[in-house]
Amino acid sequence: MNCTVIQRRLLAAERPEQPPAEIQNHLAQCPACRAWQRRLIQMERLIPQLSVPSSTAKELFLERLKAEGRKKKQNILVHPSAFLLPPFKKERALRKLSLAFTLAASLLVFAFAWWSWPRNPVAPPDLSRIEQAKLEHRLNNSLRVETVKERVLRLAQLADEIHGEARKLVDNSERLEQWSQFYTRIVSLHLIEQARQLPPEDRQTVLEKIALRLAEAESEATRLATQCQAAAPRSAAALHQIALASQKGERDLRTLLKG
Amino acid sequence: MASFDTSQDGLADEHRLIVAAQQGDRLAFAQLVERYWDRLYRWLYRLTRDQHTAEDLVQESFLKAFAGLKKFQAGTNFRAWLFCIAHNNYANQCRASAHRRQPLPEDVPDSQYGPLEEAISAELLQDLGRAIQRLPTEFRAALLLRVEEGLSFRQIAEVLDLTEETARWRVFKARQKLLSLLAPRREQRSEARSPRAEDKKQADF
Repeated sequence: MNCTVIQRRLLAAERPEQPPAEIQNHLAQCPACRAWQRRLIQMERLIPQLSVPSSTAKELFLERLKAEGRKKKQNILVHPSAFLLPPFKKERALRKLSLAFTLAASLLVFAFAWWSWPRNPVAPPDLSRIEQAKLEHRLNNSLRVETVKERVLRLAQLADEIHGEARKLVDNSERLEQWSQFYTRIVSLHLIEQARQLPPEDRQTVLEKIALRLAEAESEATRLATQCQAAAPRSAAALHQIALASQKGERDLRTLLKG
Repeated sequence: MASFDTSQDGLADEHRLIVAAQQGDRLAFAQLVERYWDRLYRWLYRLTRDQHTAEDLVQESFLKAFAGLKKFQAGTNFRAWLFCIAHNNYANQCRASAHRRQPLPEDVPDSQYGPLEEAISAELLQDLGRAIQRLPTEFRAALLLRVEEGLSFRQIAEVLDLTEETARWRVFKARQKLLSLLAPRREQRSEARSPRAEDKKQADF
């Protein structure tokens, strides 16, 4: 085998530092290939030393997860205590009555526990707090970006994504309400505030597109709200809130565009 | 490579945590998050080149992993499964929007490494960081799984949804390209530091 073949085989090896015997034989006799192998190994050993920016997202995520976990455990401890029966009296009649009552109560408690016990402990509603925290985290990250233009673009993208997600939540009015509140906050408060700080020369290029997207969001949310008005009035109200925020946002951006 | 407990005890402990998490134990899942967060973040940061996007993707991946934990077969490779979810998230995100890129920060060696590694110039690491950044994403993803995570070609294939041969080929290409990107810089550096041919031969890059 010549040096080119050996080097190609080293490149394709799972562990270039532990090549098969035939390659090792060649390496033992060829200083050039040995140096080449050393270079490859050293390069790979350096890669894990490259730094990445530190992140606090893990702590936030774990905090939420553990808080959810503790709540869950408390619930589990509460349920069995409901099965504890009160002491009954000596009298026979009362004892029977008491027994009947406790049996009935037990059945009721059991039925309630059966009904309320989570069938699927990983169902999405349990994660809504984490989802909320994640959105807050993204909002904070967007607001921490260095340039105003970038902040505006990030906020617009976030609003876009939230609107997109909200459209899928028509069947879950509670979550849709949360998302619509968040959307309103981003558009009415942060996006407009940042847009006002945008230098005039950037306004036309940046704000025109965002205003168009807000107009689309308004029309889409209004259409959906009309469709679900009868079946899900709460969802319709939340969608109207999104439409209103989009409409107001678009109007404010247009005002800024006119200067 | 970051230390990682692959001993029998470590794997048994992980198995216990997975089973508990599958039964809805969030504290057990939190321990799994503790184990894998930094590794996923590091990998995703190298793919996205954006801290916030990487953070979002890690969170998203763990939420999806938690939601889909029941489908995971305890006893199979949890790390590969998790990285697979992260890669799918990353791919979806790429499709959804052309993500903005920010330059990598100054790559400096972590202080925990030994004197030999510390002696290696920051310049070299910066070159390496830039060279990795220039690799096509699919090559970079495969190489980092091999080099930083120590995954076998078979496991890389599993994570990236490829054949084992394609995974091997991508690592091959990534290594080849990295060496070629670093070679000219290495020669310039060697010349600047030491004009002697003897020294040139000894320089690692």
